[in-house]
This record gives sequence, structure tokens and C-alpha cells, in this order.
Amino acid sequence: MSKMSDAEASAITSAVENRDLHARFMAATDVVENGVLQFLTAANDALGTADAAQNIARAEALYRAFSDGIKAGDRAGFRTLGRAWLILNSAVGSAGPSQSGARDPDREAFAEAREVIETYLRDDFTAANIAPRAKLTSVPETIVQSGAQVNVPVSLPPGSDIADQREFPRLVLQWPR
Amino acid sequence: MPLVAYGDMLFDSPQIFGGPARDLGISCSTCHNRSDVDRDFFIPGFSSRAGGMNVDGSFFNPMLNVPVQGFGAFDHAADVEALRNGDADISFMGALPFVLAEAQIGAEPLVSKVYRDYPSYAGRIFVRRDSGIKTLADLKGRDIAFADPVSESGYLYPFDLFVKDGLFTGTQGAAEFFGNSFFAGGYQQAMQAMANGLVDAAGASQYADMLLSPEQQSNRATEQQSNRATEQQSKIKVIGESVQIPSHAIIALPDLAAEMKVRFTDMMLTLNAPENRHFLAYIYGPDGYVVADVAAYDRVRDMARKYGFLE
Repeated sequence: MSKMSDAEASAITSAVENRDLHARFMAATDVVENGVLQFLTAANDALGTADAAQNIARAEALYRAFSDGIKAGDRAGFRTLGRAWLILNSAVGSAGPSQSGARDPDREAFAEAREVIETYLRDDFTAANIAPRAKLTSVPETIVQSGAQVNVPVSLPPGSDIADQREFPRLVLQWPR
Repeated sequence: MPLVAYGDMLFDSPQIFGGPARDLGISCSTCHNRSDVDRDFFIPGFSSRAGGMNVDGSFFNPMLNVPVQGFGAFDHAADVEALRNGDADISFMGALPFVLAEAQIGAEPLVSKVYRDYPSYAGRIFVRRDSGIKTLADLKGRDIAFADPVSESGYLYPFDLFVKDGLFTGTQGAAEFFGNSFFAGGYQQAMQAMANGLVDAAGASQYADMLLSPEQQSNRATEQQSNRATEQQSKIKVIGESVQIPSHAIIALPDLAAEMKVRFTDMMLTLNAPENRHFLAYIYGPDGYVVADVAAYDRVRDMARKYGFLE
């Protein structure tokens, strides 16, 4: 969310204040999509450094907002995108700890995988391209437009243990002044 | 009335805090004038909200008596660099980054994490139960995701299982053996890629199946393999397990004062006491800490040399 522009923040705030669910869905979708794209750009600019992997991790974390809907509605697309994320992570390169285990980035593979992800997101998760829909889910727009009935299952994040009801460790937030 | 007076005295006294606070003359009333909350008071890292700070944290902890600032590094490479550059004195890291830090800057292990009663764990090769894959050899021409290139349990040790089985030797041999080999970016990503059918296998820590979703786990294979019925219900299975790897450790720069190393070690070991165990969830969530055994890393050093991380 660190990449959210003032306009995006304003759109979300306005939708929340107006209790407009659809507008909030659209604004949030745009924020997540743009966040993924911006972190991918940042990763590309930092290839071969630790920052590149960090930006990929941030982009992939945002992509999680869409992945359940893609998986439910477009299994082939889910696989294509999942493989693209694997290629991105493998192609990112690393300086290694003090040059031990250093790996050069594979810029060509990175660019191809990035293009796959960016094209899909622009086609299916750009709010301007999304028609009003009955269910505000993360099913790709192309699938919704096809008329396919898709049920996105309720899911918990990876690593969740429903049997573990312990209180989470307290987070210490370092708010800037 | 005496209790109130006693309370006021404590409220105004720096003596109830640790050395740094005493030296600075900081007391409760410094920040809370007659118990009012100063909303402008905020110390990043020590304040959880405006107007307060965590007085039971390390800054005021009489066992250390020094201000401590914590940083979260993105990866082990950044941990090692922070130590090398003098930006950190102590770091949490795995066995492979440790032996690299040891070789390069003389880092020393202080305490090791305990997982399920042992200060060690293993790397494993996981596959989907419905994949039909039974052995490492069955992965010829198939796709695998490892966690990270600088990871002992997420790459080096699982990779070495194939080498020990004579399936290939170095990375070039691996490239010819596997269909595709990926670094997924972490245990979770590697396990998710395997569970979602993006790849056929994952090389990761023995505890990485905790990073599957509850539906994907559906009675995990690990820790329950003696229970045949449970294992058969699991959606994933283990087809290879490495030798034991020393657990992640807390390491220190060699020039950190010996007294501080002792105090830090003693403080960490107090977390094993029943009354303190709930704090473990705040510190990477192991089952406890033990004094590190330097000799336990010999096999990691050998492994690092074998694969070119150390000369």
C-alpha cells in the first residue's frame, strides 16, 4: 500500500464514506493492480540486488488478493501466472551473502515473465475495464464476461492453523510523526 | 494512604528502571505527568502507540542494561551484510548464512532454537500424494521448486539428496535432470507451487508444510507419519529427508563484549522458564533456546565447501 497515490487513497476514502460497495471494490482493485505493477517495475530496476527480490515478494503478496479468484475461475491462467511468478523469483539474481552464492539476474526471462503477469492484470483487473458485477469477487473480468458461474471458495491464508487460537504476538507499529 | 505515597514515589523514581533509564533520570512521570498521557511522546521501536512505550522491553531490561534496536532484514544476505558493516551486533540466521558469516567476519553462535525438543531439523522433498511420484529418481524430467539459493533446508540439503542418490552431481547435472528448477522465493512459495500443481516437487524445511493452507494440509504428513491412516489422508507426502541440520541460531560479532554475550545468552535462556515461555511467540516462535554447539556446524561447513559457498 506504500505505492498508493493520493488519487487512489481519495477514491477509497470516498467510496467508504459513501458506503458504495461497488466503488470501493473498483478502487481497491485498482490500488492492488497498480501496486503489483509498480513493485514489478521497482524489481526490474533493481535486478541483481536484494531489493529486487524484496520488491517481487511485495508484488506477489499483493497478487494474493487476486489469486483465489483466478484459481477458481481460470485454472489455466492461474497456472500460467504461477509459473511466471516462479520464473520471476528465479531470474531476479542475488549478490549473495558477501558474494557467496551470488547469482546473476536473467533479464530476458524476467522480462518475459513480467510481461505475462502485467498483461493478465491489465486485461482482467483494471477497474476501468470491469463492468458492474453482482458478486464483488476476484474472478477475472474475462471469466465474468463469459457468463461462467464461478464460486470462489472461502479460504484462509497459507500457514493458517484454525486450531491455533492463541493471541497473535503484539505488533509494535512505528508510526512516523 | 501509605500505598498511595509509595506509588507516587515509584512513579517519580528512575530506580525502578534499568541502568540507561536511571542514568537519564527517566521515570514514569517523565512521560506521564501526574498520570496524564503525553500524546506527543513517541519513541520509534519502543512505543506501541503515541504516549506510551514498552517498559518491559530490552531498553529497560535490567539483564542487558543497554538500549537495543531491532531491525527486520529481508534475507540472510542482508543479515550478514549488517554484521559485516557494523550495523548490527547480533543476528538471527540459519546455519548456512552463519558459517559464511563465521568465515568472513568471525561471527559466533550464542544460542540455537529448539524445534520439537531438538536444536536441529531437516530438509525434505515434498510431492503431492496424487502425483504418482514415489522416489527422487521419479523426478527426472519433472519440475521442482526450491525455496532460496542461500538456504540450507530450502535448497542445499534437499539438493544434496539427489547427489547422494547418484542422480546428478552439480548444478549443471541438475539442470539436465530436472525439467525445470525454480527458486520460489521462500518456503511458503515453494510449497504452494507444489500443492497447486505448478511444479511436481518442493525442496523445503521439514516444517514447511505448516505453510500450506488448512485445506491443503488436511492432516499433514510430517510429524504424523507413524499414523498410517492419517498419512493416507494427507494431500502431500515426503519422498526424501536430509540429515539433521543445526537449527537457526542467534549469532554475534566476535568483538561484541564477552560480558554482553554472556548476558544476552542468559537472557535468552530465561525464555525457557515456564513463566516466560509465552514470550517465545514474539521471538520467531521456537519451542525454546539452548546454548549453541559450534561443533554441530561442521557438517554445514563441509556442505558449504562442497557447493562452493566456502573455499
